[in-house]
Amino acid sequence: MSKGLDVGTSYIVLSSEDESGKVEYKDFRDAFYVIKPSTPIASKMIEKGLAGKTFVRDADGAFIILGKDAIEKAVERNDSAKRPMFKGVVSSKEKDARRILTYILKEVAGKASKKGEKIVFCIPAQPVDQEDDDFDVGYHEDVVKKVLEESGYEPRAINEAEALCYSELSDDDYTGVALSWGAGMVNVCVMLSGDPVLTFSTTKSGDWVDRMAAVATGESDSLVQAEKEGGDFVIGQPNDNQILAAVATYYDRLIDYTTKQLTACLDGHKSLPNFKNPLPVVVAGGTTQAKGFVSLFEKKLKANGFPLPVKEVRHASDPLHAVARGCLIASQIL
Amino acid sequence: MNEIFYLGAGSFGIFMIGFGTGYFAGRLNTILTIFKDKETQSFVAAVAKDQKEQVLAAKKKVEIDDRKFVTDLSTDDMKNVEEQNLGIVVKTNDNIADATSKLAQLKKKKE
Repeated sequence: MSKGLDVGTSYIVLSSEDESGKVEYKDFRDAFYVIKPSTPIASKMIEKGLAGKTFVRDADGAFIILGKDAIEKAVERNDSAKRPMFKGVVSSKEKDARRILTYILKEVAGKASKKGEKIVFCIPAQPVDQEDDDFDVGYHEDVVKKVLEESGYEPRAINEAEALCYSELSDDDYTGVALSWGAGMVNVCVMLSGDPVLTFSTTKSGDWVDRMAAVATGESDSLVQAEKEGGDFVIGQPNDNQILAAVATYYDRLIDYTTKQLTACLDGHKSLPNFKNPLPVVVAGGTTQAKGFVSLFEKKLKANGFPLPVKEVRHASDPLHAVARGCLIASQIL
Repeated sequence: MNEIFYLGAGSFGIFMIGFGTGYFAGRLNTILTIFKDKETQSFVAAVAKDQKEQVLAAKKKVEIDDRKFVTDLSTDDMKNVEEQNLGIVVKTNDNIADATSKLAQLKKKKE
């Protein structure tokens, strides 16, 4: 038995096989919200109010609400929930973020079924549009590795979009392009016969849409995120709800930006082989769930001069679990 | 008289030729050493230069691992009050056996 783990900015997804060989996933929203009670009475009242919610008590008496409950609580208080990860990696500066990510990872992954059980987790590629000291993939990889080793696993990291290729390109001889649109970043992999020939990332994705729409409408990021995930809107089309109208507009700009970055990065790149046949382009991730995403992405690819021959642009069969599925496949081979 | 002169001149000529030959034979080793040394010097210099370049080239590739050390990540202070399990389990009918064996074959071919 082995496992796969998608360590994402928005979701942590564990993949494994049950006794009959069917794949199962365990999803957890990667968010937290801290409430510090001012008096012992307030502490008791808060604890009562949190009945049925997922939370832990910290040494200083603070309540750390975890997962989707954290977002609900933040919206209730007209505030924004926090993330243990930012733009695809754990912050090397925020101690609280590391502790909470560690806690979530230990709880979601659980203990290894036997010592040295293989687990493959995903890490982002180096971004092409940002040079930031806080973006430290090596440190992020080390933190996740250490947590998993302490739980008895033998962990191994692969690129996030590479995992997506393993999950979605089996009918294409593992040749094509995959884009994983997470909350924090877009990861890209160009694969030839199972070999990742080129990987990179860009640092604007779903969170950028939320942030920009929040600034434009004067609402909190968490409220925009909740509206976006529950609301009915089509990218690039007008909407009566001002938050969704802003979200739809920024989605359009995000897709335009990402396809332009794709063209800029791939055009004339030395590592690219001469592909004989047109390639499938697969997209996955929470950000691709919006209506009209795939068709607009395809349109923008053509309009912005994508340099590789494209056979089709398609959505992953299970966009929220595809990366975890790829990690599980990798765990049985690598 | 002339015969004596020519005999004398001839003897002197032969002496000079003998002397010259002897001189050059005597100096030959020294002259060769000078030439050899020049060659050796330039050869040694070239080798030294080459070695220096190699060392410099190799030096550029050596980097110290300065990744930030991961300190203790203890979560002992965080108490799960209600003993809840984190995460929602989603069961599927998906089977990855085909995809896995196909990828394994591809990877094996390349090895």
